[in-house]
Amino acid sequence: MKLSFTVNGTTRSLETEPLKRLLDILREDLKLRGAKEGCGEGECGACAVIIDGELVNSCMVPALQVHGRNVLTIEGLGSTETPDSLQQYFADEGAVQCGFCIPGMIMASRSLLEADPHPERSLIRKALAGNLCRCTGYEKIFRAVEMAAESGYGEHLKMEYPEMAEYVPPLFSKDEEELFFQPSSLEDALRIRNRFGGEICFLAGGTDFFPDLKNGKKEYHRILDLSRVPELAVIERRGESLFIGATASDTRLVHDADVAALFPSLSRSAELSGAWAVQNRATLGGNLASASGAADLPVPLLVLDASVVLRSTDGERLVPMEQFFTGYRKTVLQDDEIISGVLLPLPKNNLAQAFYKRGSRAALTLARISVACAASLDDGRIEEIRIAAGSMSAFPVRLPETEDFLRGKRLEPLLPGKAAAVATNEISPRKSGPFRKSVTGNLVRKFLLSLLDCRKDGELPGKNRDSRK
Amino acid sequence: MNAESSFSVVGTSPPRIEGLEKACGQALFLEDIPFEGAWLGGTVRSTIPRGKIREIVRDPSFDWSRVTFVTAEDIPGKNTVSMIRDDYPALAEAEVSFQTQALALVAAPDRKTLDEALRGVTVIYEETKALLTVEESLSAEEIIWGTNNVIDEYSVRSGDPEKALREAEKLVEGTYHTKHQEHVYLETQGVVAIPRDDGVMEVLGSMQCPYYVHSALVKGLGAAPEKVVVKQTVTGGAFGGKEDYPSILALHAALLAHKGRHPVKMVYDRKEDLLCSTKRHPSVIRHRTGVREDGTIVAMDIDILLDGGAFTTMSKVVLSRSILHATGCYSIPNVGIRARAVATNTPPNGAFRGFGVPQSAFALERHMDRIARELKLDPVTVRRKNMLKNGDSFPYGQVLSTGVSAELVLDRVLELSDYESKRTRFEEENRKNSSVRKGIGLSLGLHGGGFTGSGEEYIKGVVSVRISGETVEILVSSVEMGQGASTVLPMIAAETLGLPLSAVRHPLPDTDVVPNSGPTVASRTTMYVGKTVQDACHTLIGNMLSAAAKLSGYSAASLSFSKGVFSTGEGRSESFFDLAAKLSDVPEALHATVQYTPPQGFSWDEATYRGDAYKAYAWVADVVEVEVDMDTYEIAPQKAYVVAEVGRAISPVLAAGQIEGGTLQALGYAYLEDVDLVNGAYGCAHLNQYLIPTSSDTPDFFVELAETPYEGGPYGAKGLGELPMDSGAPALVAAVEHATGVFPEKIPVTGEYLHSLLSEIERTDGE
Repeated sequence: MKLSFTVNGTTRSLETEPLKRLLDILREDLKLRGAKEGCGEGECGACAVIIDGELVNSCMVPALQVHGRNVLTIEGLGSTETPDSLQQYFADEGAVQCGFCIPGMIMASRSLLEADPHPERSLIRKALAGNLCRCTGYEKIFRAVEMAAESGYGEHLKMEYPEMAEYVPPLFSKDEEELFFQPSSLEDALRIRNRFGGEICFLAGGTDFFPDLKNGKKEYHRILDLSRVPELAVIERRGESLFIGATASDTRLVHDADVAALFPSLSRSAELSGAWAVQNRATLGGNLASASGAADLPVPLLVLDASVVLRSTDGERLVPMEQFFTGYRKTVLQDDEIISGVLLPLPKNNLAQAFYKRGSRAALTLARISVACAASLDDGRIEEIRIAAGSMSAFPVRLPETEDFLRGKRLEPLLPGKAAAVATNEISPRKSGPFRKSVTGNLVRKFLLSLLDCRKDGELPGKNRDSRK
Repeated sequence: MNAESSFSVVGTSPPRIEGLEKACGQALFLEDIPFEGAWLGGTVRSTIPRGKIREIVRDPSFDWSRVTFVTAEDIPGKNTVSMIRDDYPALAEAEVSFQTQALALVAAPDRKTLDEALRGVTVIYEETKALLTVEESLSAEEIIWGTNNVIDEYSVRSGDPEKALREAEKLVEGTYHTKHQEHVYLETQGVVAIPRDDGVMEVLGSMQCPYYVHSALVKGLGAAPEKVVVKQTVTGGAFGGKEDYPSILALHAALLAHKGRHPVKMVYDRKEDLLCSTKRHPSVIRHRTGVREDGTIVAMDIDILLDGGAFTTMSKVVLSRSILHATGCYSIPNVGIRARAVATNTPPNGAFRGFGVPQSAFALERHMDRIARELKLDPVTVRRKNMLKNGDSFPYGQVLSTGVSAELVLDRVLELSDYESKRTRFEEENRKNSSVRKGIGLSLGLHGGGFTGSGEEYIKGVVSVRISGETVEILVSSVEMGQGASTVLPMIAAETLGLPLSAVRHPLPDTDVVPNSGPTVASRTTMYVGKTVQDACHTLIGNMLSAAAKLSGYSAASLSFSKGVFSTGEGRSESFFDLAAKLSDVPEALHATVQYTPPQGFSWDEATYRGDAYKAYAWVADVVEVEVDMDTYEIAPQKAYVVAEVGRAISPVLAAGQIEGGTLQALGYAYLEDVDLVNGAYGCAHLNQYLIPTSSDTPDFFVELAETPYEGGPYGAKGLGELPMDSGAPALVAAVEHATGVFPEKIPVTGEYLHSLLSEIERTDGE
């Protein structure tokens, strides 16, 4: 494949394989060795670079998706002869110890300061959560970022991203032509899918694809890259519903005005997924297709009455979220279908929502327990309630017994505790049973308590605290 | 911090010398260096914890002439990775002792061929019963090491502990558990072995101890010492994990390079590193303590058990440190301690920052809290009642006439953190809020700097300094691994020589060039190697003075040196480098090589295990605040106050960085970092399974350095690298206890464990 892209402002062209990792292209082909491999799975951030203004882990970005884009690496910020002031602050404030995490850490800091030139420390903590450091305890890294911010670093960034010419797809070699596809329309994508059926392996954000490949969990025959199909990227109202395209990233789910306002539980689940570099790439469709029991997004989708939209050359069908998963890592997706997106009915005014995730640490973690709730109240009575739980069964599930128990009941102080007991009994995780059952019950109770609280001050829970503003 | 110092460089915080290079991504770690023609090496590993190897079968359909294949038979020297004992085979011969043990090695020109070859190897075992826990091992139903599975054993005794326990007003007992901990240096293990045309085997890699690697290669290759050269590459974190392990990896790469006559690079990916590299020794420590009702401790009986894994590696010295620090910052009149390191059929455990002390200190500090709890006293009172003071002694006999800072750090951390009032305030707030509880906890710790007993006298570290143009080079085998050695050692030299820091450099150690100043371990580099650097600088000055005298005709006595300038009595002077230039024909004047000089007044008896275990101790006190989410049982550290008395902070910013980083590792150890073994193999193969703290998990740090200079250290400095690792965990757990009322006695305090403790309270409350 003939790859053409810009690196630190300079156009580079080279013959490469479509799935060669950007990390390897930088290090091996371009001799830019600042980005490091710490894990190869998007779990450490040592490989982080910025593509068209977005922080990404380059160990999970293939050449195919770098083509035509603008990459900024640590070398593009500065060198020891002419260091960038952010690099200088890191060096001067004691933020550097062994140095291995530092290029990725500085790129993450750069990305943060581009978005918010004067971040609070709490935001810095979130922004850097995808970059592990084992030496420093992070304290002086925060200090370096704060000093750079104080100096106005984020306000004076020169435009690193040249004007985008119209995208021209890459030239594949003869051998590659029948194996790699990057269609520019849904129609083309469907036709390819229809032709090759089960031989097709989809590629969107790559945040499951590359770790699975690395761990021998995935083999591929033909790659269908969906990242350039515009119909899959839209978020738009369609009648009384909101359509969220399959390639919408977690980041877009956090920031999109409609998603944040109408479906704060979904925004929240995207916000708590991975870390920013992962959120910039991970997609809704990928999360659904991976059918992992610990997937974040399906849990709120289950309580929001979502339907998964499946397209084929024959047309379209809607599958209610509850019917989409059929078993461990199994969905109803047929070999001639593509997940086009999800359709969410616009909620009535009085829909209260929440999403809770209990991982194993504060960020960059799989859920051990996740709970989503949506409820509508009518004059102090629970008119409708939906509760879903993730990470405790083969795939995320609703809790119908708890819902039945709550439906129609008056919201009064003893109700949360009673409902918690029902939920604790209903869920039956195979491992760490008592702990996870207890947390599930507690989170259901927490939601109901918040409904009780808001009856006092009138504001429905689930209002999205946009963490990046 | 004392303001009395009149130093020019020491006590300032210049930017780390290689910091900007690292910030610009220009520092060359091993994988950043191109090695032309290097093959890639891989390892065939055991999939059973114990048994006999019947046969190693190679798939005949693969063309084995395309690769290099090495088994134990190919080892030219001794089949051992030389460490403290030579019980660790480089490659298993007839027997397998742990899962992931290296059985054979393959090198290939590219990754694809390597993977194909590795897949083509099948091992036929005859599996035998493995001993996977310390309990199984002590039962000795099978013997897997020595005569009784006990790798090492120590005991320490003072007074009459049995009598004192019998007569005590009250007995408090407790058993404490800690698990494995993995270093997670961001740069994984990696080396390159190059068989040079001149018959020298050159090995480069990420490591803490070039001379350890050198010794291991000499022994394993059966080579003459001058036929092996080891060079450290920029090392992306180590924390003890690159103290012993690189010797294994280097020998593996060298065996492949030796046989195949190609350079061989062996770099572990994260999975292999997590599954195969050394971890911290798990511990079970039992305390039986005799106390008075007022909190005075009259006797301590302590039993320490460490799980060593299958071979000795560092167990002997980890055990030694754990027993010598077992009574911590307290003066206890009657003490009986028994410590054993026991073999199991699990991967051998190795060095990790703290080296036995985090385990001992966790048990001790938790036990002090248990005593407080049972006597209904507060944790500060119990500690004060038994605090070490100047003039007290340790159970192994060392009298600390000066330099005890336990009370100093305790007082200061209580003040800094506002501990007492927060203790009350959090309790009040918790009564009102049931869903998030706040807690504040305290711990004390200490760490002896340098090798135990006469270890430094045994190493006899050697330091050279030499003038090269307008630079002074410090030639030592000590490495920079992020802790700041490449800045601190030059700072010491610059101070001594009266030169600006920019004139002094610490090049990457190369065993062909640098003498053996000892390994970069044991919190010894600043304190011991730095002192010897200082001595070497003095010797260099002396050499230059003598040479200047000869050259100039002045008598040596009439020449002097001060602050970088040589002067005659009559007002003539010459700057350091100007004189050096004039002495260019007198090369012996331009360098100095000095061996470590033991200070007077210390003695240690290895046979009785009594005496002055360490020449100086650094002291630390931690206060940690947490919030506990009572719905999800999540612990969130909020603030960490750490007061460390370190003798002299050569660079306060670098010192604070060590305290912050080490404390966060200790906090991770306390509640996040968790790995279980399945049939003797680690269950964590990914960084989303073994979790270290992210920036969202770290508390706000408030670090204060105190200085009680140690006259034997350079400008008074003591070791501090491991100190923060010793006290962080018990402080966090004490905070969790304060927040929730439960008493965790093992770490990590996971959600499951916390939930089970809380459920027990609920259950017993209901009864």
